[in-house]
Amino acid sequence: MIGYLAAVFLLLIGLWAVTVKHNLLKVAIGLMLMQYAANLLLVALAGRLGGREWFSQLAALLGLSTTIVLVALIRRNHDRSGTIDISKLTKLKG
Amino acid sequence: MIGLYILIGLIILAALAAVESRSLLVSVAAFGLAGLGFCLACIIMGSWDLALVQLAAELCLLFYLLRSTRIVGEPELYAERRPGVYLGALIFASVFLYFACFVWRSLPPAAQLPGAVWLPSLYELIGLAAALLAAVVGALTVLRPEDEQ
Repeated sequence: MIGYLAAVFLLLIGLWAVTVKHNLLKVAIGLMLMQYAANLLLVALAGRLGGREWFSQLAALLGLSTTIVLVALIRRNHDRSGTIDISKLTKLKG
Repeated sequence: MIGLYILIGLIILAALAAVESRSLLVSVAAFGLAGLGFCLACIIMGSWDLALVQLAAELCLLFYLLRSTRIVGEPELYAERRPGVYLGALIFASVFLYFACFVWRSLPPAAQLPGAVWLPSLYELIGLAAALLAAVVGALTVLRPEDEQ
């Protein structure tokens, strides 16, 4: 039960960071927190899933890969525009 | 079981600190602590393999995030010294690590990783270093002349 509650709290905190925060790195951290929540839920559900724990490991590695790409994009964007404030990024041209 | 409850509470606190902190560095550090707590929670819930995968992923990501924070961090945040924030983060890290060791040692023998008895001692050493650093930062903050504060 505590696993489910923790997953919900982490998901809410991550969602809050993604929707409210203007700093792109904090948005990335929020996404990672949401990934933690998903993994925690998978661990808590492990008994019911029955031998599918490898899925949570795969999810962790995929989460790492996507976050690294995201942070690389943030750095690239910072090099171009000089800011990581999401409200100042008004041009989305390639 | 009470250890798991407190650990989950600390993870949520660290996640909140990661999101709410004004300093990117403290934010990344708090995020690292949340990840560490997550690994411990996985161990307590019996998923050793996920904990190890997550720990490795966490270390890679922390290294990359710290590098990125140094590059993209706002200069004014780094120029402005806020010892209170760093002091709080260090104390939190120290308490967190000591609590992690307490939870680790209270695990049943079947749940403990064979050959990793040195790991709690390593955590305790890091916690001790954080506590010492907190003491130094605290002393410097108190001893600093008022006109510089």
